[in-house]
Amino acid sequence: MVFSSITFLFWFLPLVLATYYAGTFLWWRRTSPGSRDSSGEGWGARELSSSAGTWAGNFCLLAASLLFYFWGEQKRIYILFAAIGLNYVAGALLGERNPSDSPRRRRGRLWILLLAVAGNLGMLIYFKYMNFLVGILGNAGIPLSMESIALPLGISFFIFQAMSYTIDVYQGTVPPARGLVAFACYITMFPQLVAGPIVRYCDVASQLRRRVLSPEKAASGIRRFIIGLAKKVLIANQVAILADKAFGLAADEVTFGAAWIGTLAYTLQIYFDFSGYSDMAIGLGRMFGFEFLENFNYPYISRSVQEFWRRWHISLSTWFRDYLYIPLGGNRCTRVRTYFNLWVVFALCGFWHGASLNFLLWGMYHGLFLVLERAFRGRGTRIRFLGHLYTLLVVMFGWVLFRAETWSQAMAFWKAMIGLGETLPGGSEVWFWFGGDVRLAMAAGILFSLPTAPVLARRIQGVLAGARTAEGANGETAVYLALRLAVILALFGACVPCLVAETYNPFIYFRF
Amino acid sequence: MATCAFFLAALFTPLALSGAGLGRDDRILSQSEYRKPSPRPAFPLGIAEGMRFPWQWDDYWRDAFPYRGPLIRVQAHVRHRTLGANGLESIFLEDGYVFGLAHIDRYRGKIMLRDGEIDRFLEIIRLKREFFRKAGISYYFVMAPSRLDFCRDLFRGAFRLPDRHVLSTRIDERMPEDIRKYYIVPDGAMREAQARHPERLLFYKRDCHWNEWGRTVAAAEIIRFLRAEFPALPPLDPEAVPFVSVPEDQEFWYDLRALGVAFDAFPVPMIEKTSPAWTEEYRRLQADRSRSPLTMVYASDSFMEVLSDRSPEILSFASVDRAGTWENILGAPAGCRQVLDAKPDVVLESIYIDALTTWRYLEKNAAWESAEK
Repeated sequence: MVFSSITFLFWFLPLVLATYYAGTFLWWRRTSPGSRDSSGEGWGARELSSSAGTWAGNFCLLAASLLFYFWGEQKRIYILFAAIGLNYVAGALLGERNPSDSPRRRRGRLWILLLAVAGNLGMLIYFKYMNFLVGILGNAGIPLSMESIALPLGISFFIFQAMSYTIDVYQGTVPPARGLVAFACYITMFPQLVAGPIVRYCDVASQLRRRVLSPEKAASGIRRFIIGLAKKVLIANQVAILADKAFGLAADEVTFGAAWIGTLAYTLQIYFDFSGYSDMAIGLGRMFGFEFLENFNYPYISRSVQEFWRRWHISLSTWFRDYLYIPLGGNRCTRVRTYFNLWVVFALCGFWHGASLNFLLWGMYHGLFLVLERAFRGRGTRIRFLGHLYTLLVVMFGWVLFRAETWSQAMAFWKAMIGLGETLPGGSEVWFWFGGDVRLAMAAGILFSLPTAPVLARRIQGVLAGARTAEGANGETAVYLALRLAVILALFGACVPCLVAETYNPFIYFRF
Repeated sequence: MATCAFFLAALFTPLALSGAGLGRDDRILSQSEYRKPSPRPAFPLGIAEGMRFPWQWDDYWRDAFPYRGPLIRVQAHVRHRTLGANGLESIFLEDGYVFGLAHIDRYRGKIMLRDGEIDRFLEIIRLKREFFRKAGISYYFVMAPSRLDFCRDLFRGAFRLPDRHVLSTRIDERMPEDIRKYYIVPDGAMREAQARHPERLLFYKRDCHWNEWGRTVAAAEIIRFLRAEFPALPPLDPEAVPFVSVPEDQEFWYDLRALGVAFDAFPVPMIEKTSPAWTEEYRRLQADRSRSPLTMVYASDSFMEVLSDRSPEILSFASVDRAGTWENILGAPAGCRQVLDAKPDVVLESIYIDALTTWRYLEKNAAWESAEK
């Protein structure tokens, strides 16, 4: 089940919301009859501070999340249960970290951690990378007979989440989860279960014990969800038509124009697809009272590759930073070792995206630019435009590697992009699909990949509030609220026919 | 609060409507998607049912979604009509023309005959002419023109047009003079007709075949060509055929149906059709086979079939029988027995020009070249 499907939107979500709110409030009323509006968040705010209320909410979410996962992955749901069981037991065995622990207990904790990490990585490697490894060995003349293993849904995300919990407990960042329901709810929480963002336990541990539900928060979640839905349905899916056609060309059909328009389309597609999904996850989280960290922050306005990675898939890059780069020594070692660490981390970050050489090379490619930027730090251009241009070019050339099915296709695209491609008298067939819908989506994509929406919102708010500048406005007038509601409803209204028509709709990040 | 209220109302409305049995319309399923609505799955009581339930429910809810048909039509209308978008498998032009994806390769010249292959094709035509000449039968080849060629002006502005795809021009450039005498290309006559009556379409808007006006012009050109050898044939004047403007037949909506588009979202294009009275007259002529000055068989794809079987104009002067397709009758000398036994005056072979590449004409006629060697 994907968020942008009518089953999710018009069947699963309303039923889950109804059950969650009804169940939570029933339990909350029964167990905390005297407490109302204790959060002080205004009318209708409810703080789920009672253990029973939170437990009921977590239980509802867990049941809904398991149903959600089962919808897409019926046979291998046991892997999810295994990940929950392994890390819950590991967390419980690791227990609270105590400075006065004996060396034997410390060694024991280390062994538990290593076993848990090995178990997690073992599952990930077996189910995600085994086909690739067998293929590599076969090419190297060591044939292994093994049936192909299908990739379980969302395994990369929930394994990384589970590992982060165990490592955090080991490091003493968070105490072990107090109940299996809360922990299983954290691992399986359907808003971020299958396509991220990778939520770390330390970021939601307190919310699993105590969180606020309020109409304002829910409304904010709804707005965020609809914006994400619109990003996915109205922009990503439309530009995907062009991107798919361009990357479906044979090597001898890739012209200069086709390569650039196809790469631009994919650049927009992957951003709006993935950030749209993250927006929907964050919005859904808010509807259920959770606050997830942001996963994207206008990455295409970056002026360096390093900045790009601070803005792109933030939850993944911080995961690799905290659990791999820093343990490897980070930048507190020799310069060469730092470069090596950086490069290895990004190679693995690329490989995380898929069991293919393309992803590995894509990670190494980004790692190379990060190393170069670090090596030549301070010697770069001070002209902002050139910084943007450099980053965009590096990122776009990188997306070719990410999207191309084969190395030769990537080469054909790169050659064409630098003017060494094929020349077809009538131009490429890609232009057939550059219709009004794609043009509109691309224009919107370019516009909204910049921080246009918040700037526009501030300006309108400023104008409506009668302030002289947007910065001076700090109140949301009734007209502004009505306008915002109209825009949100219009976006939702535009998405529904597209969803019903079941237009091109796969989420790219389900592959990872 | 308003956001929550509207959103919840929007989320719950389909469930409520579905529960109340409102908004269900399965016409689009039968009309455009050619399938029956998926049944509502029973509540799963066993493991196997439970495993199947998610996709069964997805299918059911997809089909049972209230006002699904109108929503799909809204989407199709906005996408294809308002925004002028092309589908994944189709090209929609502003005035209702539809081209299937299969046309693209030919349009951009991806599938192209090399010069040597064109020469081989012409040589096969010569071999067939010679083969039938020995049996006392006149062989003619009719090249049915590409609809894309005739509609290429429609693409201007929207897409750049390569010239190299115009296979007919390349064949014409390489054609020996002797073959011209039995190689019939109605393109010129059809273009003249197009110039005389720019308001009339020669091809269906939603199908690759020539329409009644187009095939009348093509038939007249074939007759004009044959009259050089058979002067007894009465000429056919397309201008004398009365046409009426009627909505395009739904049977020629193949392209849209195959594309799975909600084609009833589009207005029905008008098309030129011979008037019913005229058709009756030809039916009478068709019944009287003794009036024909010559007998003719043809082996063709659907173009000649459309020309011959659907419009009886050509039958007013010749008894025409279909021998089979160009593949199974004229693909090899050994396969021509049926034609030789019929002892016709004329054998017409006809293919749609794209068959040369798409349906591998050279490969399927390789036996003629082998026989020559």
